[in-house]
Amino acid sequence: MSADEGLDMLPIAQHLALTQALYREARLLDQERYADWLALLADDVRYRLPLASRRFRADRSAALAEGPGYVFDDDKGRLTLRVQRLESGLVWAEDPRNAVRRIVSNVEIYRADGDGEAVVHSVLEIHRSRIDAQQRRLTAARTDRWRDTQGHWRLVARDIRFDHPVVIDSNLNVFF
Amino acid sequence: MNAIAKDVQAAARPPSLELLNEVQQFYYREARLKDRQDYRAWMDLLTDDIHYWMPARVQRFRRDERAPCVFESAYYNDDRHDIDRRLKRLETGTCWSEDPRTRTAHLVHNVEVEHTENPDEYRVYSISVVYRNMNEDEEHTLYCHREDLLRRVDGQLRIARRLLTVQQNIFLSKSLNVFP
Amino acid sequence: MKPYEATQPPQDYSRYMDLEEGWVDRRIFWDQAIYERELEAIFARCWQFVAHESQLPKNGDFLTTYLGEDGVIVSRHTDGKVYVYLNACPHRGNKLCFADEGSARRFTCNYHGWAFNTAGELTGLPSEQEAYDAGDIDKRQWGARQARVESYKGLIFATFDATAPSLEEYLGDYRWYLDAFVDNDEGGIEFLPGLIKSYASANWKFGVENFIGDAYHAFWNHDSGGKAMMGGPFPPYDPKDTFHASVNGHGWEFSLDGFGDIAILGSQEVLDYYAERKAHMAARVGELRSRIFGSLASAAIFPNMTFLPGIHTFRTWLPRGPRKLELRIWTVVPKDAPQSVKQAINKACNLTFNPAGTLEMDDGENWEGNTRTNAGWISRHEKLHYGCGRSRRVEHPQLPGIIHTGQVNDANQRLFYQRWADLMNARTWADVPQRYTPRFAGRPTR
Repeated sequence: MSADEGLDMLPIAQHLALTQALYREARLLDQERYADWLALLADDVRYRLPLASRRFRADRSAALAEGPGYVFDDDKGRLTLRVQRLESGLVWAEDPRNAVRRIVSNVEIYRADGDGEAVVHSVLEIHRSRIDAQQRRLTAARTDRWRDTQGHWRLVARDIRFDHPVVIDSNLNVFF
Repeated sequence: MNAIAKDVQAAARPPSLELLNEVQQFYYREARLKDRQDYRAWMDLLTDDIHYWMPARVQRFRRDERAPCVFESAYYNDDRHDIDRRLKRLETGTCWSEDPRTRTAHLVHNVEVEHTENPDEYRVYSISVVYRNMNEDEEHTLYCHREDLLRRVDGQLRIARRLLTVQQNIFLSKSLNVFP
Repeated sequence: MKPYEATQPPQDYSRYMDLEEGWVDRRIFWDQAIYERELEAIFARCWQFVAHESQLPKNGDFLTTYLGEDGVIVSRHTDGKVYVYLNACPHRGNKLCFADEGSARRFTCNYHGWAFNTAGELTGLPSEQEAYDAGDIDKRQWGARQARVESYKGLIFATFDATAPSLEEYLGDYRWYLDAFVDNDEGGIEFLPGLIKSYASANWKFGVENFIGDAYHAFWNHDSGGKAMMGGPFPPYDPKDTFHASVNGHGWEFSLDGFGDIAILGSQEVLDYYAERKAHMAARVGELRSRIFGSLASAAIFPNMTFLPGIHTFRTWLPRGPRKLELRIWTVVPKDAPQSVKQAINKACNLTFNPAGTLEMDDGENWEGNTRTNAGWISRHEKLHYGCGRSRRVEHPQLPGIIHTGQVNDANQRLFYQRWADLMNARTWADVPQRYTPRFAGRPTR
C-alpha cells in the first residue's frame, strides 16, 4: 500500500468511529482479549512487520527498505495460530502476565480508493512492565487499511515500521 | 470470552463529535488543574460519591489471577473525605516534601467514550501518563489504564468512579504524590 | 547440604561509630564493600521475616521474597509445613518462580523444565531416562537450598545460617513486646491480601532505624500528615512515661497513652473498637502492655522488618545495594474484628502509610536525601549525630530489655548500630556478645 493515497478526509462521524476503534483495539491487546481482537480483523487481513536492516543512506537497495524478511507476515490464520500459542498456557515467559500500555498517537485518516476503506497512519508507543522492575518502551509507526463493514471498522492491512533494529527486550510477544 | 463483550458491542453506538469533544476537553482541563496544583478546583470535578481507586498490583500466575478487591491493599481507595484529607495535608504549609513543589505534566491518551444504560453516565477508557520531575534531577513516569464513570451533574461532567491500573510491578519511586 | 564457610571480617567495623560519644560514620550508608559484608554478616546470618501464617492458609500456597538479595520461595507443602528455599534452579541458576504469590503444586523452571515440589525438592527432569545416565545426578542432592524456618505466633522467619541461635533466642525478650501486638486477643492478627512494593534510592538502614526509635521526626516531619488525619497537630512531646526498649538490636519506642497511633488513622470506628477491647487486652497481656499497644509508637525487628502497631502497617526493607531499597508493605488487622473495622483499618492504613500515604510521602524524601548527600567525598567522611538521651538508661521493674526513658531518643538506634557492628565483626555466632540480661529465657512471655 502506498502511503500517498489521496488526502480526502472521511466524514467526521466515520473518522471518529475509526479513531475509537483504534483505541479500543489497543485496549483489547493490552488486556490480552485476543478473541475480541481477532474479531476486529477482516478475514482477508494482512499483518506485516518487516525486519529492519541498518543500511547506509547511499545504499540504493534501500528500495528494499523493508529489509530481507519479516518478523510478521501473517494472514488471519497465522495470527489465529499466534493467539492460540499465547493462550496455550505454555508461554512461560508471559506468566505472570506483563503489564502493557499501548498509546496510539498521531492518527491520520484518509479515504482509500477501495470500497468503504480508509488509510490510517499512526504512531504506537508501547510501555511494557515485565518481571520485577523491568520497564521497556517500544515505538512503531503503522500504516493501516481499515474497512467499514456495516458500521464496524475492520482492520484489512497493517504495515509496521518498528523503530528498534535490535530488539531491546528479552522477547517480542507483542502485537502492534 | 464467547459472548460479545459489552465494550465491543458499544462500538455500534459511537459517541457523537460533541460528546467526545466535551469529554476530551474535560480531561484536558482536569489535567491542567492538576499540573497547576489547583487541587480544590480539581476536587470540584468529582461527584460527592466519588470512588478514586488504584489497587495494589500483585504478580500471580495466570491460572490463579484474581480481580482487584476494595478490601485489599491499594495506593488509592478514596472517598471524598479521604481526598479532602490529602489536600488538607498540602494546605498545612508544613508539607516539606512538596516544598519546593513537584513539577508535573498530566497527559491523557486513547480516550474511548461509551454510552451506558443511564443517559447521564458515560464509561470512559483512557491511558493516563504522568511525568514528574522532583528535586534536582529526579524523573518518574507513570502509565495507568484508567476506567472512569463520568456523570452529568447539573449539565456538567463529573468523575464518579475512577479505576486506575498501575503498570509498574514494583512502584519505582519513593512516593506517589499525584492523582493519575 | 554443606553449610557455607564464614569468612573473616575484612576490617573492624566498630571504627565506624562511637556510641558513647554518640556518632556514626556516614560511609556505612554508602560504601559498596561494607554492603557486601552486610550481605554475609547480617543477611546470610540473621532470622528475617518472610511471611505471616495467614498469607499461606492452604497447602500449596506460596509467596516469594528475599533474604538480603537472595530470592526465596516460601510455600506450604502437602505435609502442612512451611518451607523456605532459594528461588533459583540449581541447574543453570534461573529464577524458579516469577510470581509474587499464589497457589502451586510444583515450581517448574522455564529454562529446561526441572520441577520442584512445594518443599523445594527436585522431583522431575524432562527426558530423564533418555538424557541422563545412571549416576549423572542424584536428585536428592540437587533440590533448592533450604533455609531454616521457625515462627513466633504466626510470624514466620527464616535464615540460611545453620549455626544461628533459635528464633526464640534471637527474638529474646522482644517477644514480650511483640505479644502486645500479635497476641493481644485470641484471634491474633492476620495480613490482608495485597502487597505494595516500591523502590527508594536510600540505604536500607535508614528505613529500619526510623521505625526502631525515631519518634522525634513525627512531630516535625509529619506535621502536615498529622493535621490532615487528626484535624490538628500531634500533641506536644511530653517525655513522661515514654520509653525506648531494645533487645538484640530489635527496638520499640512507645508512650503509654494507648491511642496515639490509632488516632492517626483518623477513624472513630477504629478508636471505638479498641476502646472497647482495652479491658480484654489488659486481662490477656497485662495493663501495661495494653497501654503500649496503640500508643504513639514504632518498632523494628533486626535487621529489616518494621511495623507500627496502632497504625497496623507491617513492612520489610529489602536491600538492593547500598543506595537502594525495596520496601514491601502489608496491612495487618485483628483477625476477630468485624469486617467494617478491618476495612476502616485497611483504608486508613493505606491512606497514611504507603508511597501515596499522607505520612509516608514525607519520609522517603528524607531517606533518599540522607543517602544521596554521601556522593560528596567530604560529606561521606562526616559523622552523624546519634547522641540524644545517652544518660537516660534505666532498669525498669516491668519492662524487659535495655530501657531508656523518653521516646525522643537515639538509644534504640545506637543499639541497632551496636548489634550491626557486633555481627559485622563476628566470624561466628559465638563471637556475638549478649548485650542485655534476659528475663524470659526459655519461657513464654505471655
